[in-house]
Amino acid sequence: MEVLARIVSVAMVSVFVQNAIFDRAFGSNVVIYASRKNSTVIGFTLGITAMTTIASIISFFVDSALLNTQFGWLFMPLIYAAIIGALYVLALFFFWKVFPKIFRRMRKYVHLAIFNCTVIGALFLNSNYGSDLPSYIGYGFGTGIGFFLACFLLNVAREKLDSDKIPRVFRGYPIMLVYIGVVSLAFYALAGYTADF
Amino acid sequence: MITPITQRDPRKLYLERFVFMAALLIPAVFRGGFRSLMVCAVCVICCMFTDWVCCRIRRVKYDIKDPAVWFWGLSCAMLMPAGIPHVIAGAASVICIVLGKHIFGGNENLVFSPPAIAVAFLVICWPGEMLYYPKAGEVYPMFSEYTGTLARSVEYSMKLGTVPTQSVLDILLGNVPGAIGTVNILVILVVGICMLIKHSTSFTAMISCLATVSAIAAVYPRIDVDPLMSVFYELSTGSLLFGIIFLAAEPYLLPKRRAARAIYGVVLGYTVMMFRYFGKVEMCFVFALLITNALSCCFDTIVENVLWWKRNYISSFEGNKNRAQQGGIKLTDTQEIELPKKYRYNTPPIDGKVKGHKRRKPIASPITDEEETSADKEDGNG
Amino acid sequence: MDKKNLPKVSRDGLFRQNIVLMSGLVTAPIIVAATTFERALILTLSFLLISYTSILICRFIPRRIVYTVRILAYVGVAAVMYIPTALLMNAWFPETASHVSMYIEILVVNSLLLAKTESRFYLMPYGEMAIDAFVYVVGYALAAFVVGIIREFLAFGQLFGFRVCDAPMPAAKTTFFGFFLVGILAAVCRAITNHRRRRSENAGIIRKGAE
Repeated sequence: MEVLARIVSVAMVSVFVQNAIFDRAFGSNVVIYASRKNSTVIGFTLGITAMTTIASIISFFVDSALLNTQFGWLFMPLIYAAIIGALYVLALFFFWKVFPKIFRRMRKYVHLAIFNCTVIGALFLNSNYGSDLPSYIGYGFGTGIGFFLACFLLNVAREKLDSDKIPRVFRGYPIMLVYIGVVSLAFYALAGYTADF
Repeated sequence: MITPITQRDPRKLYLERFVFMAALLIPAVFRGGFRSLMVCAVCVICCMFTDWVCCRIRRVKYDIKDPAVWFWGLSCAMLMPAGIPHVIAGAASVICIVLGKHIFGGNENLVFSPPAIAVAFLVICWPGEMLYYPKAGEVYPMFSEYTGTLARSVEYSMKLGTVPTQSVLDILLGNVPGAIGTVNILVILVVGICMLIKHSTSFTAMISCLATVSAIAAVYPRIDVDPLMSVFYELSTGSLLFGIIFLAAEPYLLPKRRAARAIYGVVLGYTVMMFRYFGKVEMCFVFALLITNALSCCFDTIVENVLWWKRNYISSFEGNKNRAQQGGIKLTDTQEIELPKKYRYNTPPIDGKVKGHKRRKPIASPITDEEETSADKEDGNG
Repeated sequence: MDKKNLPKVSRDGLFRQNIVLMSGLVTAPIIVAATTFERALILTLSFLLISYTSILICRFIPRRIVYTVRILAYVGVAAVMYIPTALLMNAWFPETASHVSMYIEILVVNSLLLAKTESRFYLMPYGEMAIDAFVYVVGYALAAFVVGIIREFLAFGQLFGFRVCDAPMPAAKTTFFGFFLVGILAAVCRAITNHRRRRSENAGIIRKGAE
């Protein structure tokens, strides 16, 4: 029960206080792309949440060995990329064999959902802030939920953000950034300023 | 059901709200001199000028009599301390109009409350100027800097977990450090009741927000007082009452349906309390309002979907039939309908009675086998 | 020198298809980490060393290999290029590099390498691709330096590390300000691009009319 409470509390911090999009800007272009339709919101969220959670669990054991060495930090991106790559291949193989219809639909954007700053950024944040396995799991899971929150907020406002009333130079990508900026301003009241990277 | 506030002209609504908010200037000027009036004038004039400049850049028609711009300028000023430098007050107006209105496409396409964006930005960028207030009863110079002692608000002491030292009467009468228009609780309450009577604000959103805040404050008090006092302190501090009455029910941002407005109020109240409990800055209301504005687009959709589901899958057959005849809902093919006259081409009247029907004679007689084979021989296919 | 043998230099990557301001890719380091000129310089050098070299190297990966496997190779090469990049940045900027280390690490999965290569670079001849990719990196540098200089002045009252005045707006180093600034710069870039396109279209119409 304590473990579950720790996971939930760390996940809440990851969703609201250190949101991957609003606080760290990880994967802001993926969020803008994924928020276009309800199906892509759900698809991307599921993919990213699964990847961050499972990769966080694996990275806990890797970090235990790697961070204690003098030059281990140099190889962290390579090892994290290998973890994500292995999970990516396993996931593709699993869906190809078990759910071929889903595999055909998700084939064109699965690499965008997996190889992005949100997933790898979650692993780096874990290595900076995580201490034990429950916090790693909570942080990884919370990153995916935080991504969903950002996607959802963008999706519900799509109708207004795609309106013709918006000045031509702001239509599309600039107004999305301004919108994310305003929501980030609101979340700042929860987070405060995180100065260290 | 649509209530009066959503049926009213937004321009008239904003004008009424502007007049009601201006009434808060009377006790502010009485207490602290004409500096408050000067700050409000600077904000409103800067808002109007910025609106003109933006309309020129966007090549849209400028409306000098747009009461929404006056309302937003006055709102920004009311949320600032009387001793704020005029430059910062002007910056707030520019941010309010540029970032809150024109970048998102004008009044008809607002996403966030413009004064909430401006005040939130200022609280983070210049906390020293925004969150320190001259003491109650001090008269501030109109143009020069205030040189007296500055104090923190009652909300700050609650954030630290200490019981406010000011008496209930002082808090009600506004004899506490605070923003220009947010400390006179009694006046705000009177103005709020007048606005409810005039349908200038949303009763549903206001009551649901107040109820949510009161419930959370009563059950989980932040300070060591009894539940009633906890509710009083939470409602009377941090610009909450001012924000609920004036900012939460903006005509361009409020959901259309009553149930959606109730959800909006509950979400706003809950978000404010979460920011107060776990947040790191004061003036939590404006930050919570920004998040609730971002979510408000979906409240109407949620309510409409729930109502559609309820009508189609839960209500009785007779109720559906009556509603269908009145043209209310979409229908499945298992339900009997009565079509309007213009759609009744050759259909017999539906009266529930089982009748026999005559088969019509076919237009052309079917081709027999002998005729088919003779036709094939003529074509040479045999 | 025969002009036909020289590769074509496209300036799309500078403004019209600027990777940060127009395409919206690789924005996280600039929005969060580019708060001073020095940090913008570190991010630009890292981006050049990781992304540009990876693009040049990964060009030799056969296109017969399915994209699903090729993307793993791209990320692997970028992760290998990170090692000398990190060592160089720590040697050249010992005090500041640690503050932006995370945003250098996430460059191994940046979209210029994973998406733009397939849609643009690897469809061009090698020489043209090398110049085009370099122009894109210059476009990234332009965005990073503009954002870094503006935020350094507003947040710290400094220009290129030299103190000029009191900090006008200390909150300029926050993430939300980065979103606002990049969004507004993207709108400005779009306005400039549209204006230049209309001018060239009008010039083309006038030329046709004169003919």
